[in-house]
Amino acid sequence: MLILTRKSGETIRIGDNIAISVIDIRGNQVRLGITAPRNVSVHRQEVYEQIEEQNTQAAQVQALDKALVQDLWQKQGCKRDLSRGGKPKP
Amino acid sequence: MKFRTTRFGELELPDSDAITLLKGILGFPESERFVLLEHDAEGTPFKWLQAVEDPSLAFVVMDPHLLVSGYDVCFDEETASELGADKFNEENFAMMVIVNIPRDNPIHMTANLRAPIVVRLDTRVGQQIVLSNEEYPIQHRIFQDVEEEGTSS
Repeated sequence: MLILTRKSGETIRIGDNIAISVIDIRGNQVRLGITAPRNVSVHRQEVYEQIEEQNTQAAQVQALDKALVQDLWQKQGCKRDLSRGGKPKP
Repeated sequence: MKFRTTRFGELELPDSDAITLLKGILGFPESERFVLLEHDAEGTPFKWLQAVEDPSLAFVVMDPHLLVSGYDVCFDEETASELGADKFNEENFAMMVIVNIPRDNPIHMTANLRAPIVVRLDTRVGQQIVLSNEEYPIQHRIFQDVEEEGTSS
């Protein structure tokens, strides 16, 4: 791994098109400004990890309780309608 | 194509039903071919996304537009070009999000609005993408208005 030391306001470049600037340093937080072409996606590492974790959990689902889901979906629909006006019937 | 699944037994479907997801689902890069099934889900907003080559790999999915109005997907040019499109045009893509159902509390099921699966309608090639918009949660409660029996909000 290449390790560089930068001060606030300084920048590193990756290739011709990507620049990462240190905008601000406060305590243990660093704000970075990233300039990259639109064809490069930039995300926090945790986002990827969380999505993989969610996918892994979702892959464990073995069955769908159809009756429960239909019931919930209907209830949710009713509540939404009610929230647009009108009162729930006793 | 004829293939085995752990949840739905043996299936035989036309080859044209297959959806190719480039790089697979995040965390499961080895499976790229999937089919959409309605087993156990008829009459609900849900479908199953079943891997063709891995019998045990399947996800519950749904259309995100049923959950949030104006769901706005804008993906980068690299993804668009991998899918063979110049840019993202919503009319040419189908969209689904993966649903996670906690075993002990299915009412708390969530949908991952941050990482939708987009599929080109003409080529049936797609990808799970990560949106930059941080407003879309990875765990969006689907039945957030519905409280468990015996509790009040």
